[in-house]
Amino acid sequence: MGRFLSSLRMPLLLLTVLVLQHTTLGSASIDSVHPDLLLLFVCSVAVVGGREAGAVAGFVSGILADSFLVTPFGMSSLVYSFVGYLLGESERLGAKRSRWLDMLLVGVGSAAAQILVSVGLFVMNLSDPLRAHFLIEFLIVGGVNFLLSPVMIALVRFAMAGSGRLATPIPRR
Amino acid sequence: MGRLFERPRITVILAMLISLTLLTLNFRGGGTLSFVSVKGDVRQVVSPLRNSLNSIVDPVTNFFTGAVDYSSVKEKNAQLERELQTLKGEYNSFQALKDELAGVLALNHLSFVGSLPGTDAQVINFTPSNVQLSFEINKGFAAGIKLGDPVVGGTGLAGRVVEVASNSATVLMVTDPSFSVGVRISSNGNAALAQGQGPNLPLKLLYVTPGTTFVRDQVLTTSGLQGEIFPAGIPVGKVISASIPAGSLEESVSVKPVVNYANLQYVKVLFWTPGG
Repeated sequence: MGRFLSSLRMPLLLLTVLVLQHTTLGSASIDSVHPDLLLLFVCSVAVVGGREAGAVAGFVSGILADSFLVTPFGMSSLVYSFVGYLLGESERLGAKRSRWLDMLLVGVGSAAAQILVSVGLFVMNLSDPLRAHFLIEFLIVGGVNFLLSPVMIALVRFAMAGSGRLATPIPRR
Repeated sequence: MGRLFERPRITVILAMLISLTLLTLNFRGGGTLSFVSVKGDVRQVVSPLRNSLNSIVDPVTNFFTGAVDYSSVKEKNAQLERELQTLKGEYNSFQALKDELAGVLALNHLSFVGSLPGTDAQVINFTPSNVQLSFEINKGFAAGIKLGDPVVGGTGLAGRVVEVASNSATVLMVTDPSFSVGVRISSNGNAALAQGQGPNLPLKLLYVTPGTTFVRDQVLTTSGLQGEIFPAGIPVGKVISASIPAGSLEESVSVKPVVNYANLQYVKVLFWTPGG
């Protein structure tokens, strides 16, 4: 029973993040740019749980994100799963990474995902990534997620400890 | 070769392939998979949670938004304040126009006036005097008004014209101590004289036949006597109290005028010739 409840932590955390993203908390903006809590979640899972967990979290979060957007279904899941996997590569750096590096990875990963989504939309002729505001958008999303990452990483670590899926560091060669 | 097919890599490739398939299906029109219904289902699950959380989070968010974006909030507040003042002004003038219209319309449907000719006039000023209770209207002899013409409001007798100029006239109010009007008591058909007693005071009823019974709020109308200064049947006031003081032969009856001068904006001057 205890293990079952522990395994519910992660879906509950994702649901909470999703609801938070779509409440006024997610509607808050800095220079008309909204924070992306789902990206924060994906990057944090990848940093804490590694490549596979990052890819799965990215895919599921992307599908959920797409459910609330008018952009093509599958776009966010494609980008988020890719970014989740790439960030998960940080497990190669070992367990004794500094907290600052984790925060930096989450911030850079979030900005990169935002750029990739914009590029994807540009390829589909749905957006123009060369607009001046895009740069501010990447910086704000990355910056906000960098600042929020300690909290999310702690939450993800707690949720993953329940399911026993914390990444095993890959030894450096 | 073995590392190429390690589990995390297969997982991400699978996830990306599914995503690409979804994208392709999306661009090809969805096929049998209805994306709209999938999106709708997800939203349906999240919606109740979102609404509940919004009610908790909104005040907190507003607090922080106010703190972070103070200058913008202040500017917006000032702008909204200006708009509110403008709208309030417009609303008040609309209400005033509505009241005026209602007053004018009411004057055109006075049952107690019957087919008597007359003219509508606007009250432009209440005479600021302690010795005479009167008001001024915006029409005079140019509109056919002459001295002594009865003046009625929407509910009954308002007074009598005592001064006429070309485009204005002064009306003596029913409550002025020098004003008196013959009234008919509906319960027995007898006549009496109602006399003003001053501002905010009820009219006093004189020459009441002993034994006459009154009920509260009984309406007294003009009698048409007194040399027919006023046409018969115009409501003058309502009985508010009636008693026989000890040692007196006459009843003491107080009558409240039916016209409320505080709200009087429009009146009708009746073209009435006494005895005619």
